Formats: sequence, C-alpha cells, structure tokens
Amino acid sequence: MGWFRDLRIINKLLISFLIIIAIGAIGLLINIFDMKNTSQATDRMVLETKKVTALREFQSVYASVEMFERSYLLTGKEEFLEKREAAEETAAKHLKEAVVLASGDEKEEFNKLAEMMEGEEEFPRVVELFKAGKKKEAAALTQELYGEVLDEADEEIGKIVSNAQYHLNEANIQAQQQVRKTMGVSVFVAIIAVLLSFVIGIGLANSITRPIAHFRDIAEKVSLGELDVKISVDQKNEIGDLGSAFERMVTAVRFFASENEALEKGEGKEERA
Amino acid sequence: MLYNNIINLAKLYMGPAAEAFIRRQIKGHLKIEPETLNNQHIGELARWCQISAGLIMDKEKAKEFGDKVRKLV
Repeated sequence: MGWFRDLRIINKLLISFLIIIAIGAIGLLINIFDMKNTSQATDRMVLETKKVTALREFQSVYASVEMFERSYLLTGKEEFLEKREAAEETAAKHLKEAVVLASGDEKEEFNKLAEMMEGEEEFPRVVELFKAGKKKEAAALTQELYGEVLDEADEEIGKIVSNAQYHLNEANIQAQQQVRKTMGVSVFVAIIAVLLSFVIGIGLANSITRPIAHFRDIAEKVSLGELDVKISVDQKNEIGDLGSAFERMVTAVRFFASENEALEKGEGKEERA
Repeated sequence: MLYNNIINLAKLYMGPAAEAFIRRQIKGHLKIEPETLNNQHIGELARWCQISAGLIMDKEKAKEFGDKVRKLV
C-alpha cells in the first residue's frame, strides 16, 4: 500500500471514492445476476400455475360434458346436447392452452390426452340410436363408453393434473428458495461493501490525520522549548511536503537557539572579564 | 554566485537559518570572509557543513547536505 500512502490527498480521495463506487457496482452486478435467477424461477412458477389452472379448468369442464350427456340420455332434451357441445369445445380449448404451456414428456402426455378426447367421438352414435328409439342399444353403448373409456380418461386426467400440481409445488419451492438466496446474497454483498468502505475510509482518514497529529505533537514540544524532536514522515505528497517544511523550521529553531546560547555564553565571558 | 548557490541549497535544509549557518561555517572554520569564497574552499566547507548540520538535524540529512554542497563545484 506504499503507492497509496505516497499519493496526493486529492488522488487518495478520488481513488477511495472510485474503489467504493466499484464495490457498489460489483455488488449491484452480483444482485442483478442473482435477480435474473429469481426472475427465471418465478417465471417458471407462473407458467406452472397457468398450466395447472388450464388443466383444472379442463378437468372441471370435461366433467360437465359427461354430466350433460347423462342428462340428455335421461331427459332426451336437445338443450343438453347443445350444452355438451359447448362444454366439449371449452374443454378442448383449455387442454390446448395446457399443451402450449407444457414441454418435453409432459407435452407428449397432454397430446395423448387430446388424442384420447378426439377418439371419444362415439357419442353421436349414442344420439342416433336414442333418436331412433333404440334406447336399450343407446344405453348399452353409453355403458361401454362410460364404463371403460371415460373412466380411463378420468384417471389419465387426474394423473396429469396431479403431476402438474407436483411440478407447480416444486417450482413454488424453488422460487421461494431463490428469493431467500437472493436476499441472502444482497445482505452479504451489502455487508461486505459496507465493511470494505469502512476499512478504506479508516485507512484514508488515518493516512491523513495520523501525520497531522504527529506534527501537532512536535509543534507542541517545540513550542515548549523541547527541540530534540524527530519528525518521521515518509510520504511523498502534501503531508510529506508539510513534514519537510516542518523539519526545516525545527532545524532553524535549533540553530537559532544554539546561536543564542553561544551568544549568551560569550557575553557572560565578557562580563566576567 | 557560489555563495548564493550554497545559501539556496542550505535553505532547503534549514530555511531561515541558512544564511547565518553558512556564514558561521565560512567565518568560524574557513577563517575567510563569505564574499571571498571560491571553488577551492568547497571541500572544506562541505565537511564543516556536514559536521555542524549533524548537530542540529538528522545525521543522514546532514550527510546528504554536505554531499550536495560538495557537488556544487
């Protein structure tokens, strides 16, 4: 740190200021980098939430499709067919949303489910039989559909929703951990920056005030007649210049004092003579 | 000219006492008038400057001062 000690005071102040700014900037960069990770984690959480929401909507609407089919078969009212149609469209829309949000193996699973849903277009056959008055055949076909295929579909949907919920929970935990980590890093960086700034500040203050205190002590001694003082300042800056000037001054005082003493001794001798 | 150069050099080491100090060395030790100082006296003057300055300042500085006086010729 010798180079720093010999710098002129204004340069010392500037360099200290720049070092503190640099520490702050490094801290800020670390935080920005960490915030990026946090942002990614929260983005993933938002995506998983949207996906689970779409799947839950799909699950709920899909259940109503079944409900309208059963209601039609029980009552024979055409409005249930229309409602079933609308619900089926809405369910397909929600599933599509989930497919768009999914990726990797999950996307494949969702696509399979979508294919399964398209494959279930057996219901118009049930309606035809029902309208033709073949209610027994219609009931048998319905039983066939509901008995196996739809149960299988329900099970598949439940599994998919449960998996998506698991991914959401996982993303949520990761996001929380990342937020905690970011907070920890921010606090750590802030503490380090404060400590370093403190150390630099103390170093800077000492390099200026310590020699000044030394000069004050020397001046105090010289003013009280104690000329046997040692000025020890080895800085090559304003403080060093001040030290040299001080040393010249004390040397001059020593010389004049010795001259005066010699003069007094000479006068004493003359008086005695 | 030489005398003034020595005074100017001495001022760097003892400030306002420079002239009185140099006059004392020339008169007291070389036994000549300051105005008659010439190159032949420099070696002896440098020696006395170093010795006398050593009494009122750091020995190392006094040596440095003496060496600089010697180099003025």
